[in-house]
Amino acid sequence: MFGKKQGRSTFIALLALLLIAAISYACAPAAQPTQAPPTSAPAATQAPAATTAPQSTTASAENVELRIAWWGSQVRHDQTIKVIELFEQKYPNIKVTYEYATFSDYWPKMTTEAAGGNLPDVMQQDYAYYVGFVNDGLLVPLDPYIADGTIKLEGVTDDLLNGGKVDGKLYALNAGTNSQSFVIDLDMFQKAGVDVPKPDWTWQDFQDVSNKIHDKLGVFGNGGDLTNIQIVNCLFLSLGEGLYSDDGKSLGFTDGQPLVDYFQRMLDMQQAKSMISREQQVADKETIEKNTFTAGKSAMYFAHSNQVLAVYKAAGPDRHLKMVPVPRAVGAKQSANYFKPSMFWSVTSQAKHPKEAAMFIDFYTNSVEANKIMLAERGIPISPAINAAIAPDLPPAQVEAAAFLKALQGNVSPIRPPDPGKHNEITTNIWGPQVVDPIMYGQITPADGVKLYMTEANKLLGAATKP
Amino acid sequence: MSSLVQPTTQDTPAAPMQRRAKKKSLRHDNRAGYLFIAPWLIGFFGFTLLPMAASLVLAFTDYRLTAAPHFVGLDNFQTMFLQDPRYWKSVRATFFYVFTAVPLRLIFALGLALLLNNTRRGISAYRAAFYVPSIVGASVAVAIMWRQLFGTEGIVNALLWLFGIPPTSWIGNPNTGIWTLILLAVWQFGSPMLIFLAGLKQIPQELYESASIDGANAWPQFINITIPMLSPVILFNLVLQMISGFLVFTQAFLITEGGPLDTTLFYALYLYQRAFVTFQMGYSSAMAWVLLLIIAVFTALTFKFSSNWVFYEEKRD
Repeated sequence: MFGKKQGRSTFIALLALLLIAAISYACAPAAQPTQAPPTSAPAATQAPAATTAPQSTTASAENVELRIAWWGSQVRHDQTIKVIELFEQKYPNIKVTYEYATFSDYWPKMTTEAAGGNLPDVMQQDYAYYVGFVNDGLLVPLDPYIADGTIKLEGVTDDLLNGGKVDGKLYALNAGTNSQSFVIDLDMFQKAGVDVPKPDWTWQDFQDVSNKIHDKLGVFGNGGDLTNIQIVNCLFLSLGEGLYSDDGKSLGFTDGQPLVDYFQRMLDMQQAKSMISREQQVADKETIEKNTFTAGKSAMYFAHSNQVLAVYKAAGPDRHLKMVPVPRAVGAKQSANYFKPSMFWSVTSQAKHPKEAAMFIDFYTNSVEANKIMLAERGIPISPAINAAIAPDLPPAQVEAAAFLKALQGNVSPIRPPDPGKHNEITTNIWGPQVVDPIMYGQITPADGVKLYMTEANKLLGAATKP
Repeated sequence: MSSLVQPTTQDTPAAPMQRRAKKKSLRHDNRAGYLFIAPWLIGFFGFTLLPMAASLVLAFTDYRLTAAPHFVGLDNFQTMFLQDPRYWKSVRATFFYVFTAVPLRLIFALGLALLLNNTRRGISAYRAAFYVPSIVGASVAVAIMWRQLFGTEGIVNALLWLFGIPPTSWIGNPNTGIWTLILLAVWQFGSPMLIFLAGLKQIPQELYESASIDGANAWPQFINITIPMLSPVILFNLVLQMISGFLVFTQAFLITEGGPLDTTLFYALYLYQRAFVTFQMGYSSAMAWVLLLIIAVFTALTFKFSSNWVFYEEKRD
């Protein structure tokens, strides 16, 4: 009797175990495609052979799974995936898995992966973020791969590379150059009888133009968010300063008056209805593709030159658009524009296949076919040979962007050092909610807002330097 | 497989059974039970208890995901309480939401439950129809639809325009922004309504019958019979809704993003921003534990004062 019962409980236990086994099997990640024994991790030793003779697709080349991540819009996703397919065709032993997201989803994803020691091999990087990643030891220098010829940089000038260097080592390779601009609607300007702005126009001119267009046509003079911290950076740049000091331990300006004037100007334009109100801006959550400008309800819109493609596309083929430089502060010393690596490629220290990662970066930088797919979507490519090769294929918006950048050449200010690590916290917690909104909603005066900004930002920046 | 079974057979002496064997076999039955719920147990310990313990430790560090955490003592709590104006804004917004949205939702749910508590033909179809908003309500799609409805060029403005009322930015205006979220919360009254409905069905009909014989009409009946008899259900709904109210996140995240002027910066949303926008995991862990305390205190207070107004039938006399 007991024996029987015991047999049954053993049976039940066995059943439970089976169930667990089944569940855990079902939940386990899909089995790896059957290939070489998984213990072949130190592939790096083998890899050079594969790269010196990339054409040879002999079986001796080890199968490698490369991971690549980027952020962007749908256009970029589609094009980049096509480039990856091309890369896989060229190197049949490399299988690429990729992950992409919007800019705001990309960083939580990447930092979480970094915490888990699971960063992809190739990672798109941003000027405001990469130094933090370098300081945390998450990126590797690319210099060895440039030295051994894995990444070829023929004819690429140093000023295009310097933005990706920390302590003289190149950690992030420029994936394309852009600059800041206002896209303007030529038809509206003409109808309102306003001249196309000169390259050295000021914010006073901007305000006059906005008001005049609004008075004549009833549309907004300008759309978009002019409290974008990037525009404020340009404002101070034109005064020979910057948002942050060279060492990143304080703000780059000691006199807040230009910023106070800037806010006052925006309040005036908001009052005159030549600028979209803060209320409507918060309510309608504009994007590059969907805003008052693309809807034909405003005459000017701030965009980086590589984003202009999306703006032109969304605005439709019937509009006559043109790019002009960013206005300067009144009494400016130099241009408010600068050339910026719009984004970078980098290899992470958690990469399982750094060599192949470098190979992909080289492919992206130097392959004519790949760049004929991308068509400068990440900004103007750094390689002069590539630029010449893709020029005939560029869509009108990119031709305009390329011409715009060319016209700026020799007339831009030098780029500021990368943003300090606290930039993100200052913008998210202080600039937007405690300065911009209260000023634009009329709760505090521009002077009080700027004072608060300078005090709080300097406090955070100073605290950041403590060991 | 055989190696897995080993522990079971090992523990079982092959010797003839003694008195203790019965106890043992009972224990074996328990073990089988535990094995069956093992998937849940693993999930609970691995994905709930362990992370909670970790967050308690992290609350006292400056962990930011990409670098090892450093112990900073009570710094996070000190910053939170003394130097972070946005923290207090988030507390204020959350309390405002809990103390408006939750009572409104419960009143609305009770009202509809009363209307739907009859035996008219097709009543079950009505009940289902009224429950639908809460099935779809928490979804992303509804939040985005809500944005459209109350947008500057949305349907609400279009309707008001018909009556000559000029359009407003409902979401962009600091006075109305939070009310669009409260309205959405009230609209999702389905699950408390169902619970109220079940509670109403439990109230014995004789009570109403004898009350009407005594000449009491609908309102006195509602006040003197329905409310007291339903009070345990009301308490249950109140506690559940209050806790979920403190945790409100999705709607604000999608519709207002905390704006305008931080008036809808709910606690959970600010916690998320600190964790996944500025990557201050230590700070947000500290915030999470304070939220846990706040909820615990309010739940305890609700239970403590419930004896004053909740009526349990079995306690009669």
